[in-house]
Amino acid sequence: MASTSTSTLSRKLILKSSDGEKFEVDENVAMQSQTIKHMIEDLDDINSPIPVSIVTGTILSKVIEYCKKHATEDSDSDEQLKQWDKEYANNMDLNTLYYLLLAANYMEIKGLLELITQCVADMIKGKSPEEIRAHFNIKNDFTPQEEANIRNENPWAFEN
Amino acid sequence: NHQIDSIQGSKASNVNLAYSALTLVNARLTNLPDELLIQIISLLPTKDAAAISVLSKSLRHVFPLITSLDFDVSPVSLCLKHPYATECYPTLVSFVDNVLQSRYLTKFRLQVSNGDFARVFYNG
Repeated sequence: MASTSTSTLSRKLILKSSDGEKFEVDENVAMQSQTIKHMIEDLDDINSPIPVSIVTGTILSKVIEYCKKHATEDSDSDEQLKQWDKEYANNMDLNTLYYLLLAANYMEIKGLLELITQCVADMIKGKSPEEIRAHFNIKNDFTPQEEANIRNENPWAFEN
Repeated sequence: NHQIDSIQGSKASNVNLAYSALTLVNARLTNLPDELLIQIISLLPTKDAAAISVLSKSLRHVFPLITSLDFDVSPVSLCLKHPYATECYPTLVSFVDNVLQSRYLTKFRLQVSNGDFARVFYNG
């Protein structure tokens, strides 16, 4: 009996990125993604690669890194896991965060989605509009008059 | 800015390629689906969320769709300074009314400077 349950737990799946890169992962790692979980349920042949169509290999490897960490129930305390999450997110540049966010949303990985949205929100928090534009390279496409009008619509937000 | 450096460092010997890559990078936050933008700015204090509306045209429409209200002491102190605050700040009143009526509201918090009066409310 024990050997049966072990072999079920360690079943391997192959995930295939949008650029054709293949990753072999434990089923419990892949199941962190609700999208993949649903795909597996409908799958006849568990050995055929599962396409993760909008996610590139570079991003998918980072997603898998997150899922592996969160799938293993090892000795990490909640506090250690939070610290790991923080370092994981802090190591990403903006470009990577953008694609990770889209991937977490598409793959329905709740924890990763919450981690990245919070990370981006923290970058915005407490900054002036000018500072946010500079941080995210956002082009201001308002005329000065239009911008003044919008500030006047919500004066409470721009007064101290 | 190292994300731009890395793009230029890779294979952007061609100026046009570098330019289009930069344009892509520039457009990141503004290119996110509304659903994700709303999630992000709903994590912010409402005052910071409002600052999003003046960033660019494409971000303007997202602010009224936020699913949380999180006010620090400033709107309250404004009300103290202006006794007829609802008349001075009609847009705040109508904005809060609109968000409160949304069935997507997940969090409402109002901080009051007097500590013992501070309350945090959650619904849903």
